[in-house]
Amino acid sequence: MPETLAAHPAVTPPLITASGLSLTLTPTRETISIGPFAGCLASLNTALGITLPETFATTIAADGVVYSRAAHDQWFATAPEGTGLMSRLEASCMKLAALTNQTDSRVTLSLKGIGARAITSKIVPIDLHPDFFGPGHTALTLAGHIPIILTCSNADTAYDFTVFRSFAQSLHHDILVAMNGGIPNSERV
Amino acid sequence: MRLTCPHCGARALEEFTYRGDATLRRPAEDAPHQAWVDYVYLRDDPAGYHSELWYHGVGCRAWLVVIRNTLTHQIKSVSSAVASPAPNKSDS
Amino acid sequence: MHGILNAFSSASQSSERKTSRLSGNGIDTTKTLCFSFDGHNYTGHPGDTLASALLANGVRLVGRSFKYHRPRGILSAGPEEPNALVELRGGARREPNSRATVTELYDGLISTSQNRWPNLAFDALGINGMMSPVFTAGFYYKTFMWPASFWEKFYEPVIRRAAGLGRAADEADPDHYEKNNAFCDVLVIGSGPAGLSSALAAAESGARVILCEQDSLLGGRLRAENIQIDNHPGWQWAEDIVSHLRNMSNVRIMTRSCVFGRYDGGTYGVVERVSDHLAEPLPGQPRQRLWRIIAKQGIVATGGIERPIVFPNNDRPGIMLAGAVRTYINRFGVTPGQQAVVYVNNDDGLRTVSDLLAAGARIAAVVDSRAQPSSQAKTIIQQTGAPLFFGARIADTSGYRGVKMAIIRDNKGKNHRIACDLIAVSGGWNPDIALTTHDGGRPVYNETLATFVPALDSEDLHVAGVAAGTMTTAEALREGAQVGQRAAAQCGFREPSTPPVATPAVDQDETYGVVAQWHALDKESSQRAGKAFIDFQNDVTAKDTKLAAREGFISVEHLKRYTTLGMATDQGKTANVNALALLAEVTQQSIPQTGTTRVRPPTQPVALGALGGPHRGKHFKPYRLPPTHQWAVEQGAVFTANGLWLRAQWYPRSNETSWEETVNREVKTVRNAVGFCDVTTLGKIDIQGPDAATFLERVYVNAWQKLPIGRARYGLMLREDGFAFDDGTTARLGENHYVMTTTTANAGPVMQHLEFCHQWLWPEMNVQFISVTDEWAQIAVAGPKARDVLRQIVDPAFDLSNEAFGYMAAASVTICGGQTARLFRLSFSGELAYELAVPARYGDALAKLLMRVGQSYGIAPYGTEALGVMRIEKGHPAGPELNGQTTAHDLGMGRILSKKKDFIGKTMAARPALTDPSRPTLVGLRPLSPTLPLVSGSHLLPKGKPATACFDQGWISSSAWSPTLKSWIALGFLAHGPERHGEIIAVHNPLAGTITEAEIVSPVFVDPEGTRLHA
Repeated sequence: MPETLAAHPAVTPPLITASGLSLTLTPTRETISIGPFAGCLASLNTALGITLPETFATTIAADGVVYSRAAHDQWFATAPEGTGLMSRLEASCMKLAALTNQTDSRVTLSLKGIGARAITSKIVPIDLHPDFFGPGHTALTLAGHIPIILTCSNADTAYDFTVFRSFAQSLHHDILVAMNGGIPNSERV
Repeated sequence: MRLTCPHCGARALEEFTYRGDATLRRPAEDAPHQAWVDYVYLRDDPAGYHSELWYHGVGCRAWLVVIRNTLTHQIKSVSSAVASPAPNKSDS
Repeated sequence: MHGILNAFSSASQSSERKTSRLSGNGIDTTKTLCFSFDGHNYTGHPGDTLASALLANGVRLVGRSFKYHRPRGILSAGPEEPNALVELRGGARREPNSRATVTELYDGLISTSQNRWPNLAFDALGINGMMSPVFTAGFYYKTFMWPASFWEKFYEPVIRRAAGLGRAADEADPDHYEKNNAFCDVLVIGSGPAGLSSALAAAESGARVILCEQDSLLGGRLRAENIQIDNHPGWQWAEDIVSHLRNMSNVRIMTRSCVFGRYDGGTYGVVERVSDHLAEPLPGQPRQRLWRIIAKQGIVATGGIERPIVFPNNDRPGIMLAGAVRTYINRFGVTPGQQAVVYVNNDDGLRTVSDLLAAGARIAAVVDSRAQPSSQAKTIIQQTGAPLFFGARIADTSGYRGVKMAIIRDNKGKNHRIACDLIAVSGGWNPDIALTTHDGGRPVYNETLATFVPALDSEDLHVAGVAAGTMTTAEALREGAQVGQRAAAQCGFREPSTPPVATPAVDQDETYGVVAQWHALDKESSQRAGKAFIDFQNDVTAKDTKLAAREGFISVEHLKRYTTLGMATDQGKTANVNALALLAEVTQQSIPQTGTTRVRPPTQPVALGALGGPHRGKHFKPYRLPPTHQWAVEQGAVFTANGLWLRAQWYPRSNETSWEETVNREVKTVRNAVGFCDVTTLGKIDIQGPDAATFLERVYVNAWQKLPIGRARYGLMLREDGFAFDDGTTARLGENHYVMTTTTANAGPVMQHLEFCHQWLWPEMNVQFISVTDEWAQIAVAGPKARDVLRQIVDPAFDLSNEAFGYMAAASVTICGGQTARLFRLSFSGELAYELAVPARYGDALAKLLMRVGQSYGIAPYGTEALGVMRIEKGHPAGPELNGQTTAHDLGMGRILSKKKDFIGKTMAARPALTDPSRPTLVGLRPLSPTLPLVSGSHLLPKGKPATACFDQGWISSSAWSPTLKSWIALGFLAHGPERHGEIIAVHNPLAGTITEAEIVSPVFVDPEGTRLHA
């Protein structure tokens, strides 16, 4: 029997710095999409022991699992790899929702540093002011021409770009170009 | 132009895809041929408010019913298509 | 000949005198910058524009006009400049039509004049001026009409040479451009008195404010004028306000940033000239940055543009707008002339007299067209003693390369010849209202101000200052504060109980008192109307307007197009209102009756590079990489774009001399041994729910209810109009669980279609979808040895025998000792084949593993080209067949349309015309001579018939050299095709002009019985 398969990173290099900011490929989390079947949302919430967030503005964490809204009728549950998230969800809500493994569908690029908001603003067309997009906020939107899920992990200084794996290298390039372009003079950082 | 998605908030046009008239209803399989021709090919071109379908493909993947003024691009309302009046009941 | 001309040229240049430099509020005379114009070296200072520096060096002649090649100088001190257009920089950065008046000087700046040959002072094409009758209104339409064939070969090249503007760079732009997004409550456009006070008021109310100024310095007109505010020079007051604003965390100040357009939903387009003021951008720095600003409220405080007055020979170098003269004096410390005539129809222009005197110039005459001198005029004359002609006009000027004399016709009709080197003209101010009209707002004519002012009926746009027709500084400051507060209040920021800004005291009695004088043509001087310019940049004269009207072009929109008035790069900023007034006069209408043309974005020229931003070259659009991409690069694969995806097209080996050789080898490997190919790019959609099977029945034409778990089926989707939309296989993985595949190109559209069907057509269906395209690395393993290879990888618990895992089987399996995977027995090539899917991160390792374990079976990777050859050999339709114009019937799949259920497209697909047997239907084609290529796009004709449309019976959609059959083969669509197998038909390639013969055959060329497939 051949050896086990080795994982291959979606982008190279996994860490890069420019203009005092860093862009890193973050460790993969097990990600399961939860699509409630018709009329099952309430029982699903009971089964999960939480209330799935009603807006994109909030994420909910319980038992090491983070829940965030992923579409008009879908949510993502994420947990560190190796914690058996799919098995746990299957046990509690198999009949209530479509569960689909999305762990390898996307990767997350993390932009950190002073001016991260200014750099992100170059490619993301939503208002990132901390009053409207603070820590824990997510948005399904675009980075340039690439669909992303943007999450603020620290106001002004840390943003996570979650992107379909096949787009990751292209997005990595675009973020790097934005970083190299520097922070506009009119920005307050 | 910007649309305020009921799920995602105010977003720019490039996140959405236009489909067209939201007052059309898919005819029954055995409906008269003319009903099908109307549904598939014939469109009104109103000057003023128009109820139309848009898809927030880059965002929440919801189909939306947008009431838009075709003369001014003013948006009167944006609502989720599934929450809109049941397609088979209304026939406006 | 050349020597003589050059000698002449340098003689004229050296005669220009250097003027002494005064201090200006916008320049730093402690530092010196070197620059060149037309090869001559000059110096200037930081803060200079190219125009101010040229004037400071005594250079007045800077360009030649577009049609008549008349000598031209600098008219304005701002972005409205029609004349002083130069080529900047060189090589790949050469930039034509740059306005010298907004070009910031930098050390080493190189500029050249345009539109002259051989040089600026002596321009051989100045003779065009003598041919001016030829170039009058509508000359494009009249002169070069006949013969038609002359246009392309002769007229156009000659006109382009004679009447061209600058030359674009020949090389790709080496600079980087970027885009940016910004959001605010209140966007203030312009930083003059109205802009600054509105920004301050809005910011003090707590609103998020962005202040955009196109200039490098803030202050607007306060820098151009000698105005005292609170006992300080106005520009100092502006600097104080700016530093106050800079300290507020809710304010962003953007300089060198032109708001060029206003769009729906409070969207504004802004171009920031990040490094235009440098010789080249710093490392990493963009040249320009395109901003999209989303503002809840906009305040237009863009000021005004001064109008010239139309009089004979009003275009000579040295004839300038009065406000520009004051700007050069006050901001730049440059006196544009020593002996000036000031020609006005309003009090504001009279400021020029005192500013010129303060700068040491002499006033040769003041010409005021108003019938009676205003009190302002009297005061100024009293103070200065300059000769005043009221009720007068300038009847003509002289001086070839620069004005030398004004002929003033006084109110008695007597001419006075006054020597001068500068004529400062003010015909009044036009509010700069372009941004208020972009969303359809139509301005209204104000008789008192003799101009158009915005008529706003908008809850989210406000106007203040000169842009609103508010002509004095004190009123502009007050109005700005009010508008700023109102805009902030609209955003929910309550007005503070006390006014946030004490309205500053402006210790100067400003009056305007304009009385319209559009032109100075009377009975006598109107003979020279052909030299009285309205639009300087496009050389449109008063005579052209009259001619156009006489020829029936009396609508303002027609006038514009017929005369080209306002259609140059300056968009007629200094010309349009004068032209309207002249047209009104000729047509004996009022100005409001004459109307205005619609102003559209951009307000100023925007470089295409800025609009493109970073999306250029191979980053024009994003790319998607399949999981084996890196590995394929290491194999030396050649790639092709398939939608956004980059896919390996073939894998050349060092001994192979052509791509055909490589592809043939790859095909043979699959047909004789085993090959593999990354097919991750096919769309994959996970479908779950109690109604999943019913839903599939509605979107596919065929039946799905009875598909067993662990099996896959081919499905065809139609559009509602009955034409084919997409196809693929869908596998049933569990009771209510399916995974659908789509074509690579349609993955997104199919997802959108499913969501539409579910959310809009049948919301009662209990079903969920999510894309898993990127989740799984899916690799096709195809060929007689495919099972042998997979047995090395798939864990032994899974029986891969034909009996246990037959054609179209699907299963979740484990590989490599427990790794989750999915296995499908699907075949696009027609061979024994599987598709093995593993979580995407392992795709790279799977490819390497297949190479290792398959080595003894002769395995090789194959690319999209071999994939395409094999699917043609097997008669599988793909993109060229599913082209949006073919039906299930055309594709030979009419029989799979279910009659037992409704599905998308069912009713319309049943229309007789869509199932007519005479519709071109899928066939295979083999040339009678096997090595003679069949070419896609060729038409199919009955043998012996002429190649005309009435004999056209179909076309070739796909073709390839088949290494298996050792012949060219093709798929195509042919009328009554299935009944005509065996017939010989003519194949017409209209591009090559060839007609060859081919045999009509079954579209399945290889293994029609499916023996290999089911092996």
